[in-house]
Amino acid sequence: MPCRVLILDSDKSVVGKLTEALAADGCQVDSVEQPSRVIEKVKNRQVDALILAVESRGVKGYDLIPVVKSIDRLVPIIVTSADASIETASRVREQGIFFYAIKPLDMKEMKLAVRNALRAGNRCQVSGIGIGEKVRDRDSEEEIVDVQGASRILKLTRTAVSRMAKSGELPASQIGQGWRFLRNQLYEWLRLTAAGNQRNYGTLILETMDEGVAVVDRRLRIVSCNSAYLQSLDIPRDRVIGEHCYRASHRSTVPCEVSTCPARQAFKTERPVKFMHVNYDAEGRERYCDVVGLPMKDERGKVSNVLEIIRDNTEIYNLNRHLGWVVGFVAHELKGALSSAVMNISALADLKLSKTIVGEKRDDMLLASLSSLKMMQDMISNYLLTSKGKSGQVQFRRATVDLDGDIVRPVMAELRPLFLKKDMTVSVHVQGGRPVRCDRDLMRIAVGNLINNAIKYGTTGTRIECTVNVAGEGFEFSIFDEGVGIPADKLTEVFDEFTRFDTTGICGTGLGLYVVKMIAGLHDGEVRAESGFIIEGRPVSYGEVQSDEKYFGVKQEELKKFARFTLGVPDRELN
Amino acid sequence: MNKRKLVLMVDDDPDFLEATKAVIEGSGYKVITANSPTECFACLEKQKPNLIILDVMMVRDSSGFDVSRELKRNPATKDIPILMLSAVDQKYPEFNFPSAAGDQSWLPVETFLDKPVEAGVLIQHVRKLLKELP
Repeated sequence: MPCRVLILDSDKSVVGKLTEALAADGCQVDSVEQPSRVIEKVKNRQVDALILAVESRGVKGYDLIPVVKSIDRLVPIIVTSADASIETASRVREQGIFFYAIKPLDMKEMKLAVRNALRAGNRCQVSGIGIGEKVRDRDSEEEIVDVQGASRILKLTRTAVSRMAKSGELPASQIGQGWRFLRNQLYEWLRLTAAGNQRNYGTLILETMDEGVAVVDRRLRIVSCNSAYLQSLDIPRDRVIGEHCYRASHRSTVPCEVSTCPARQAFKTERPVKFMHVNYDAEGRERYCDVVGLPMKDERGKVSNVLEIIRDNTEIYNLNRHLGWVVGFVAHELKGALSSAVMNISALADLKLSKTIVGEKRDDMLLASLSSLKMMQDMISNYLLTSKGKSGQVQFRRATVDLDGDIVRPVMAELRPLFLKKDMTVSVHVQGGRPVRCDRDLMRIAVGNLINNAIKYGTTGTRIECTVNVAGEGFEFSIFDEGVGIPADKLTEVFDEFTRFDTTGICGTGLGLYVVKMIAGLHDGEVRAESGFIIEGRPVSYGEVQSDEKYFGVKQEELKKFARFTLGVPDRELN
Repeated sequence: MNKRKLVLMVDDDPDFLEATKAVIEGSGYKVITANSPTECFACLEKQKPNLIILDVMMVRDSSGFDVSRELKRNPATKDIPILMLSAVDQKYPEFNFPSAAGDQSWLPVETFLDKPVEAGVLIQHVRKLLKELP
């Protein structure tokens, strides 16, 4: 399948050139003019790489970046702009993009950027030029240096370099009458030699640091670095030493702006600087780093190199971002549930409006308000339990419990407003009335979530069937509903965090079943989902419909669907 | 007897639709509802409302924005005032929707209200947009 590149740019001539260039590389290119279309396509997973123009119709391209990332944080984003100002560049780069290009665009550069972006996004196979491979011929030539080049690198005389090459002290190859050296090997030699003289303590200290450290010269090439720096990029030393720092850290073919680059700032100001910088590891994943740039002066007092100390704060940054996203997501769902309750209750409380709401309508609004508030209560409970579960703070107390009397029936009584609102009925069959061993509070939440789920996704006016089978101290709780069903390929994914399918008009955080699975796990049990069609009043699984020829030719789109969840807790005496 | 003005409500939350419909009908208006953009345009083919109350529907898709732009582009519907509602700001805090309302290319709606909104406040804005209040 070709890689899919989406372009948002109101400049048709740019779109045309990009489309032609990227299509020649085998990409499937699509272009839109409305930012909302970008969001729609990213949501539908139709984008492998995104090219956003800052100057887009109706909105600045960089304003879309956080929206796109909140939907799919892995889609690589390339930003283009006709504005070469530092302010715009800073504004764009601080969003954590893959590449930034100034118009007029160099199509060769854009092709390279897109290739690397697609590779970094890891969504489709591309061949292309990545770190370590050369873009310009000039770079290829500079991989091999002669004696003069070696003497510049090593800061030794040409005579000394030739002597050391002849004696074998330096890694070299004799070609004709002259010596040839690999640049990377010279830098490696320099580093190892430095460790053998008075600077060896410094090297030792650098090697023990968790932070990455790199020394960058005035041409922004990496002169030396410690192992932590290499590990953060997951690139071997011989591909880093001598490489431009912006290619190694950012996978960029151009240096960062002075205002955002610690090395360039330190060279310019000759003072220590500190920046938050976005680097990329070997898979093209963003690494959010605090970078300190320390100017290093030579004997003449001139800044010859900059020492960069890089602390990778990606985990904290991602946790904060995820937390921000979760809070926003949950707050949005809570607001949705709250909206109905506020509308109903404020209408009933309004002196003028309440006079127009009489009889059955009044009862309906009160019931609807209660139902919304209960949904909110469940959402908050699930969210809190999820947070506690992630931080290992869930308290688990196993006790002897009457499953039907202590858990199922009380939960059903609590959820009665929701049943009434959807005109649904519930039946409970209990087989084996012995007490079981479980955490009562957690099991109430699990059973409540399963029943709530059946109400939400069940069809109005239908019956929900619950079955309780007790075996020893263990049990199985099963719940069956007729409703939207579960897609056949999502029967496992349905228990993932924040996962919801066919959510039109249905409030929820996507945490209910995730919490059920968590609680089942705490009990050393499991929960599973089944789904299929209801044919002649009987539930038939998807698998059966596919494999049994008596169901061939059945019009599936006309059939009702079912979902069944079974929560099982084992009998501990048998284990 | 004055003919009652017609309000079209577009929202994918059936609970909120039901609640708001009762409130608006109680205030003397006729209400028709739509659950999706498709239903919205189907309603508009049958009758022209005096006001459209439109949810952003950003959780499922960005339909609300697209619908508002489509309505303003169409000569048959461009003069119908639009009141946009949403709980979206917490999910996308980078956007300042209330101040963006009125931007003809981005958010061409007359008014934008954050959910949850109280019944009295909603009715006040409805009356204003229907020019029943100064």
